[in-house]
Amino acid sequence: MRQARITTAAAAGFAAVALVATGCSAGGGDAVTEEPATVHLALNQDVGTLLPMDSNVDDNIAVLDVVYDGLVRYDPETTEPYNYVAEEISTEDNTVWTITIKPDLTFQNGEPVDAASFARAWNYAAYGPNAMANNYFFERFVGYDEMQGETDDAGVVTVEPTATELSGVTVVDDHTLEVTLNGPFAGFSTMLGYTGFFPVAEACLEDVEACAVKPIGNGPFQVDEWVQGEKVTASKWADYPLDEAPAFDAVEWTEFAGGSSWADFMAGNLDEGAPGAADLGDVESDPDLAERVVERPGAALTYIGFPLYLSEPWTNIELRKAISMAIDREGIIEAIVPGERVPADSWVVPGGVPGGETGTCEFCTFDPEAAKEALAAAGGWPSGQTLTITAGTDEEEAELFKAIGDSIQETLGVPYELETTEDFSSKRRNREMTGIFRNNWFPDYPVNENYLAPVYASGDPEEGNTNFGYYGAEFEEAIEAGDSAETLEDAVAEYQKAEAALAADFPTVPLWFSVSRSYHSERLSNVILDPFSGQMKLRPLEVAAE
Amino acid sequence: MSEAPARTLMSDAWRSLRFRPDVIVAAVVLVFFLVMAAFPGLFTSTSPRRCVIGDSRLAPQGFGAEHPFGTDSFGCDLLAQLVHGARPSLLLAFVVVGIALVIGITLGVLAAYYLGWVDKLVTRVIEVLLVIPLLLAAMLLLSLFQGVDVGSGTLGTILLPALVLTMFAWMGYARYVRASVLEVKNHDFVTAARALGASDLRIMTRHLLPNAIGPVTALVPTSIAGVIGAEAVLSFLGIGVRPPAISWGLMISNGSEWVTGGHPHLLLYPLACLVVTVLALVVLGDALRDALDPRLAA
Repeated sequence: MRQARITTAAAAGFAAVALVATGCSAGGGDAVTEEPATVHLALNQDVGTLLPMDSNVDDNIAVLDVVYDGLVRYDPETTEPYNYVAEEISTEDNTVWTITIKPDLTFQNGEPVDAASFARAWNYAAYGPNAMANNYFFERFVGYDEMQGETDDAGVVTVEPTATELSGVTVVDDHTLEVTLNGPFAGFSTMLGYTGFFPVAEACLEDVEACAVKPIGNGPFQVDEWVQGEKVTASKWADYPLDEAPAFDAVEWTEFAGGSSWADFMAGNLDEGAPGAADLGDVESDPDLAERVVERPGAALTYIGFPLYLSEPWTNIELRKAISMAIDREGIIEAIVPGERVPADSWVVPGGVPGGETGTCEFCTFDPEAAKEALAAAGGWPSGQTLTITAGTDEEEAELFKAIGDSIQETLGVPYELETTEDFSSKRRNREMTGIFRNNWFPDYPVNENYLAPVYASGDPEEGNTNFGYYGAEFEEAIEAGDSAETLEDAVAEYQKAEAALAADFPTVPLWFSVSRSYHSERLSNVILDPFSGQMKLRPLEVAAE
Repeated sequence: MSEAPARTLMSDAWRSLRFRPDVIVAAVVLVFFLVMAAFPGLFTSTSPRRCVIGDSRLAPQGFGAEHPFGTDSFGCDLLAQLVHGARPSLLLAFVVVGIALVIGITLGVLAAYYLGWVDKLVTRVIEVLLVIPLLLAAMLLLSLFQGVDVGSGTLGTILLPALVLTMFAWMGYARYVRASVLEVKNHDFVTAARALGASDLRIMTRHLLPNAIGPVTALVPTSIAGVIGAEAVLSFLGIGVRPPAISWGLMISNGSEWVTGGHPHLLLYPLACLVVTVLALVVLGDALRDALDPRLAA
């Protein structure tokens, strides 16, 4: 699961593509030297690593998607998982899982992709002191707790973990892996396509720092060079044994680190991009560009959190409802990011993942009268107080949250102040919020559970979960019931009950879901956007000769 | 005919200025915007912070309508923003020039009067600060201190840009004053005052300063115009006056992206206010210099 800062750009799959046409023979049959077909993409986020265990933002996930192969992959249209590196994933009771791996697969350095290579990666990720971003994916594994130890605020290990390997992961033979979970979880096999579950070579762990810059993958592309802060180049791995290989020769990702790459796209240096709000008028009236746009509903939910760890007025559910109904979601989207968001009235994206339905949130539509009544029922807003709205420093998000503040102020008469801070994540983690704050979530694997348990479950009735201080007994029960359900369908139905429990407790306010939209050059076809991140899928991409 | 009043440089200047039509127009414009900054309530009853997203980017509707100048991209009333934006812009300019004047005059007089190491120190500091490009230094300092919380009152929002701009605005005054004082201090009346036992402070404030202040006064309107422009530049770069405060510079910055998007009024109105104010100040400054500096008035 990742909680990433999404700019429109990133959400809209701001990857940009250009290609150098393959220089084909001009007719006569004379052999002509072929230039490699290179796809030019943009990385819009600050990418710090290419280590699978540590990669959890859109952009390094997108790079690793062609550098590594996971046990399962997801159908880009339906998000349905299917086995890829795995031959078979089976279980009797949803607790003990047996994974068999296809024979004769190797890493790009020749090492075999076997059961040990997965166990190696997972143990490394699960070992607390390694501080991997994807560490908490292994919470469900037996032996996870023994590997965490304790660290102080500065990240220095104060208590060494008692184990260095997950006792729940057993290498049965070269191609068989047995995983034991803490309890039943029907969605386990669905999780396995996520970046955090990719295998790594032995050579990678021998020099982790080198491997984070120049990954040793098992996918169709190998990274040639990463000049950090500038660009990543990758070329086709000639010996790739599986069938999902892209139809072009090389990829080049240029890093924009938060800047806009739209100008580069328009200049033809990059052939794919997404425009900002002010450019949109021009772009939409351009008939040429209109033919080269791909759009799909995204899965990222932006929502408002409350500091429930503080007391009144936040703990008053009527106040939270009042704020929710005071926000003119459609008006804000229409004015600031037209066409790039869809108003949300549920906590799980409808249609995007199993179990997602519209309308689970009863109080997520703009209704000034009802909002005023709810505020009155809550006992009014404490006089003389200012509502603090905290968000990150992203410019577009700041605009959206200013508009949210305006909307609340106009409807409820509550004065607000917008605080944009670089310390947003640490403030939220350390529970230093004093007002409402922005949150964003997009799923890593297609089960509705991914929108619920990782965000709200804590099992801690005293303190509640870290970010919000939320605890719902009914919610936790429904999640547990879902985890121990026999089939995925039953599990999904239980998770839906959890969402209903969440709707009753109303700890957060859903705002909108992302819409992925990207423009591409004439030379690309079969452009498919990732259903989760909105990034362009590279493997099915077709590149026409110029 | 009664005895003519004592003729001073200032009264001469006033006499020559008050009948020039360009000066009158400039003064009227300036007074108009000063009144706007001081009493925004006279010009609009709408709060600049009342924004209705459903009404975003309305075209100007003309006076009498709800939004005479239309609305910006958040649905905030543009007229209210313009009126309330005048205060930070003008206040910043007056504060910066005011403090810079005090610093410049003090250091200039001290340097010229005492010479020696005081003069060396002051002139070296002036030279060092003069070679640092203002924009570079301002960008560097303001981005360094961008995270510092200085409160959200009118003063808080302009504090940082005011400090940085002041730091680079006093050198001109100091040099002018120093040159004038050097010229004046050897005159007989100064020697006479010293012979009578007047203290250094008294000589400086009563004899040197009044005679040295003329050329500096002429600089003031032009510098105010310069600071207003600099604020706009800094706001455009996102490091000037901080939102949620409004200034013309911020409005220009926000409006600029909509020019090609079909809403040029979002840029044109604040830009017009800025240009007219700066122009008025420059005209005043020019006229003042003509009047105060007999050598130029040939």
